[in-house]
Amino acid sequence: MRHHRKTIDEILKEHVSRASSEEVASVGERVLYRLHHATARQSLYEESTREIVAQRPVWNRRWAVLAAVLGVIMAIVFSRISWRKPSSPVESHVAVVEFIDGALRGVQKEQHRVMQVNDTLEVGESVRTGSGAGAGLALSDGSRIEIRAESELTLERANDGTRIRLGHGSIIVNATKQGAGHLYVETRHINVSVIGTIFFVSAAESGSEAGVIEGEVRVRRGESEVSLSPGEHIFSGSFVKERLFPETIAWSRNARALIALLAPPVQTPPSARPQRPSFEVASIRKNPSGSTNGGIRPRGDRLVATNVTAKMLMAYAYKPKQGQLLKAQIIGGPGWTETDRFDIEAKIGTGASSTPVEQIQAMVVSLLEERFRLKAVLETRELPVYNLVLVKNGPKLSADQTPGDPRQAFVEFVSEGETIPALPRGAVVMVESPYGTTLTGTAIPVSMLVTLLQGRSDRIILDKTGFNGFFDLDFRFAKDSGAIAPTDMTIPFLFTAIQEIGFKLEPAKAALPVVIVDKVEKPTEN
Amino acid sequence: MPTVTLPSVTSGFNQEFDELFRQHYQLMYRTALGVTGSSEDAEDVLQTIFLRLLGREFPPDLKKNPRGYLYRAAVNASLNVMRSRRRTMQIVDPDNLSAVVSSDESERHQEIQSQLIDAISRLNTGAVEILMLRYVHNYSYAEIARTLGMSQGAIAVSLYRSRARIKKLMRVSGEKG
Repeated sequence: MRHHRKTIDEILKEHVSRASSEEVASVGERVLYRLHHATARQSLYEESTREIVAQRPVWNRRWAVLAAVLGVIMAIVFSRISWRKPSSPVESHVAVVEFIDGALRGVQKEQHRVMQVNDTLEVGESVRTGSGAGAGLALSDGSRIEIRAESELTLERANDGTRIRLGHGSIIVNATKQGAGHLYVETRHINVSVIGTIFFVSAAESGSEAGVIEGEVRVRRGESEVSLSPGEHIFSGSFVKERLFPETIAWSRNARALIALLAPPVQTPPSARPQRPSFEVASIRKNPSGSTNGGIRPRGDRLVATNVTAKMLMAYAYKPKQGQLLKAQIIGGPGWTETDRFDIEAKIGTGASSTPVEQIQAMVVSLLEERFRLKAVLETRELPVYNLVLVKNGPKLSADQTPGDPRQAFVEFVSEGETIPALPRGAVVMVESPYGTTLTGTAIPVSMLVTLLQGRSDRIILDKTGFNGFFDLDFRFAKDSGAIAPTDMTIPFLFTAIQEIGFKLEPAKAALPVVIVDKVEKPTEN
Repeated sequence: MPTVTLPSVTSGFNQEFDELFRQHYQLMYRTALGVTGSSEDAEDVLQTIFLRLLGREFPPDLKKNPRGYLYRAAVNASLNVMRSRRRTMQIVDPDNLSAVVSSDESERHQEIQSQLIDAISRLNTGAVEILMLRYVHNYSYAEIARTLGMSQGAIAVSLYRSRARIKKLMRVSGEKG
């Protein structure tokens, strides 16, 4: 057997699926967001059905079943008797008044009547709401209409459904699935057709407008037709899609639930942010040196990138505020994005020191989009990581726990045999030899260790130690790759070596930001 | 287990419901992930359970012991997912569950995981509840006993039997413990 050496206890410990805190938090956020939307939908439904349900007589279930059976028998008998007869006339009433705030008048054939809750509306009958009033109608297909003050509408039968002719004012329609038919709202300017959705229509002398809260509607003006999605809004005049602002539907008695439905997703992709800053001017030249050393850094009022690849630029541009963006987090793109190197000098405009890093990053995104024709999407994906955790009691604390000067938290690279300089607290000296690396330092925070380890790891290292103190560093580890094999077999590899100073790297998975490169072109040099 | 701070997504959200979700979603998601081995299924399980509670009066058992109720709900819903998945898999490809020898490390890891998940889904609900507390949430015997209102001896016996059953189902030799 393949895994005969392991006990079930070990297999369970190793192979039972576990989630990182980031993944759990992100799931929680998503589910809570969806539940919130479900609540909004439910409250909308309950608000509109509460009164009707309250009016319904409570039937004994047995009688209800009996009635249903009788109904089916009657329907069969009736259909057999009348199958040769012309189709029955259209049902005369099309809606019931669900609620009235203030006054609602019905108008038919110039006859006016004051309407009450539960009154029915006949085909062709109009209803008008007074100033400061509002009303709700339930259509026979289950759709619901909320009518704003000072509005007038007429309900009509269309060839394949129901038509609401909106004379003036505003309505919000919560349309049920229409099956084969349609629900139409017609104003003198536009015609809105729906299959099942929540939307808003308003009509005035000067023009009409429509907006979608949930689902999709088609709006026709003359020969032109557009589809509106949630959050989109259109005026009959310009007939150009615009954003539906919550204020437009704030008059509704269900405004809170409707606006919640309109709420944008929790995270907006950075690509959707308007007016990203860009460099005043930028020069790009190919670097033919063949060297693999390069970097990006602000200098004066410029950003200078020397001998960088396109992916190095992407890593800089999309680096999250906390942590790094490794090569493994940039997915896609042709081979030259990792091999071809460029020198770039770009004018920031103001002094680089006074420009926030996020703004410079956004400028690099603009440069990539304009000069490299980059099309990329930011997503979150589950990637393999290492969690840095404590072993037993963790590292030995430095005698002096006052933090070192952050400006002195540097790494001094020294070759074997060279004199090791005296270093301030918080700094690390790295001695490289063909067979191994030695790290020493005093009053080191975990963040420094993560930085040191990250340079030698193909996976992101996440600090899961919860350790906030400072420790002294002195350990040696063997190179685990390269042409020269370690001759001194007593030197442990990095993963083992860090356990000696109280840390451990555990393989895990975590939801991390990734950049998906959809399209990128070689830049034009200047 | 590290704690996670959820940003406040909603305003006007039912306070009691919101608190219930925030207090227990981690336990439920991690449990569902342990049973199903799939983050998508685990997310579905979490959402389904809370959707069922939405807009309703909480059941008395939930009011009495929310943590225990929701933990059990997560185990039950996850096992249902696994059982229905097994039915679907058997319809699609009856040989899919048999072992495929592979030298590739990651494929082998996946294969063991898939066999393990399948074996877990064939245990009874009570055994899975104990197993997940032990191996997903790293509870000690005493903590499991306290959480489920059982004796430590009963927990030990259940874990021993579960491991033996998993061993048999996975056809693994060399189980020591």
